[in-house]
Amino acid sequence: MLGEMTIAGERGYRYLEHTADTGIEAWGATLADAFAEAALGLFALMVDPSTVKERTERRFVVRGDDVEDLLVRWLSELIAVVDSEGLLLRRFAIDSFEGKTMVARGWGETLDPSRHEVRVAVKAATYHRLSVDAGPPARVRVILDL
Amino acid sequence: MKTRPSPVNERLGPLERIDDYRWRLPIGYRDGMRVPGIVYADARMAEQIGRHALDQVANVATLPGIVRASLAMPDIHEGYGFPIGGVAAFRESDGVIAAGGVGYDVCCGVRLVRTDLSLDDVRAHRDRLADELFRAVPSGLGSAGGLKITLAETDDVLRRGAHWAVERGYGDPEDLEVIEEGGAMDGADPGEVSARAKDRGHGQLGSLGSGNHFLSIPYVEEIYDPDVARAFGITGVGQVVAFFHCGSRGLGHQVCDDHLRLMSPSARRYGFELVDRQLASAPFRSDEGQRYFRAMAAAANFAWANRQVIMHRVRETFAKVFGRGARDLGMTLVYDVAHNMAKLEEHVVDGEPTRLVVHRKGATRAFPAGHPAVPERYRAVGQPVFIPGDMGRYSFVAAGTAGAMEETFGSTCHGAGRVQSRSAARRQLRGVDLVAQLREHGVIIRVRNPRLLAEEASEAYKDVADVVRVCHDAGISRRVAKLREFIVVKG
Repeated sequence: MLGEMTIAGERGYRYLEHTADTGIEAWGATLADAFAEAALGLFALMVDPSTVKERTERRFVVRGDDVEDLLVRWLSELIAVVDSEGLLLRRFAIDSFEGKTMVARGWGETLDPSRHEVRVAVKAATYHRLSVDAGPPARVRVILDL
Repeated sequence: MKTRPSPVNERLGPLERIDDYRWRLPIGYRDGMRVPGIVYADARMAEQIGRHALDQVANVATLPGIVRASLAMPDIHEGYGFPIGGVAAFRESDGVIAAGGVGYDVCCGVRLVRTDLSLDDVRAHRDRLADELFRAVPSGLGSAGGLKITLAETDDVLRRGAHWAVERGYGDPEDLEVIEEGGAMDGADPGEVSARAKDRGHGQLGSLGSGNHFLSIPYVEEIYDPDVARAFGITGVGQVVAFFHCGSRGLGHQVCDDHLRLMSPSARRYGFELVDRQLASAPFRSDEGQRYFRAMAAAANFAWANRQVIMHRVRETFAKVFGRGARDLGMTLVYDVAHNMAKLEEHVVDGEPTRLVVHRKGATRAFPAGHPAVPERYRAVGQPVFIPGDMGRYSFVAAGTAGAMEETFGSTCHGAGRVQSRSAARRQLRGVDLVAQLREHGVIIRVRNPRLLAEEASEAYKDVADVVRVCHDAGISRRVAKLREFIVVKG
């Protein structure tokens, strides 16, 4: 299950192998940190984050049936704004995180193919081999459909 | 089922050998299996199948109303919920429908368009044709289809599929005769498609998407069955065709997402155990089941409209480059297959005609000669089946068989099947100039991000020739022709 280490240390993410698609493992001191890292990992699959500027702020209120479902719904929200608004995000803050509900903000800008180095599109975050461990340290895993 | 006698006690891990091309995953591999699993593979392929994929075959076998077996085609690999390459049929009367058994890319499929052009006609125009196709058919992340349609028109697309596109001038009415379901599935209800799904997808109509989706211009390299090939409009070696693979874009992905959630409490409500959240299912006849089926049909119609628009642009591009109309170039649609679908079909089970909800997740319908759902012009030879390989090699044209009808609910394989993860492929091919390598192999490629090519390289896939051979030898589809890649366009 060797992945590509992106950020080592107290918080970060790495990619997990899946034959057809890809997975993200993200960790941090708290679940909020791990969820923010998972979002960074998601966007880094789609675009080189260093080419994205922070021009707009977007707020997200996400609810799930449980904390695993919340992770899938959080990433699904982000995937949907890429398709519907062309929004690419490069930084996140989780403002509140209470078990099945979270409020978050993301910063980024609208896709501009002339400036952004786009990578692969993500179709969905799945429930397959999903895991959320509150820790500490918190660690989450999710498989994405590409 | 036709099987040859085989030595007893021949096993490969949990798989029991039935004959040269069939392996049984016995009931008892996991708790709750209602039927066994049957995997189509030769011994070498069977060895390559990962444990996660076999677990998924077994998980599908636990769903209520499943008939005969949880099947896997030779291109089986790990998916989510169902394995990719999975086929499962559930009784309409008391069985389920599973959003995860169709997957995120609802009605993802493949289209083949024939031409009268030969390789010699195209060679001199190859670079220009590649450039023009790359411009005309948007691909990659964030690609919009360039159609300005309102949300109200989107509902019309969802109701009427390829018919909507033809009425708007994209293609000809004859095209509709050679699309599964005539290019529009009955019962589609735009009201079951969320505003978010429409928001995600409506701007993308007419675009390929990303990942393993592609548009290619191959030529016929070999013909195995000249009579069937002729019926499909494939007339000789060296003939150039157009071939592409894409689906329902963000709209379909969101339909799956939304309905997985709507269905997730169903297992508890209707009293069955769900072994994997991604297998969220509801009885076909329940409110949740019917709502999903109507939404899925709408997403399928979106996919058929999408492929219709793309085909029109391919025809326009050929007309521009060759200075002759598409009709004059003989650019007839051969067929459009869908390989992520659930369909209500009649099959013979234990000698009785039975209405079944057949799920094909990365598997192609392969109905035989004489079946009423096969278009008239192919009824004597069987339904065309297209099996794309990886971009560096070749793809296949096949035909449906009576064997498929008897054994696999009229289904066969859909592609090469991955053997290597994306990151493993990237690692293995680090520093390799794939564009140059493909050119040496006679393939020119136009791609948005060349760095992603490694993820879709030949090394990441099984050899599709092996997959197609196993299906042919097992009798679940018949090999007709081989297409060699020449121009590839992708995201």
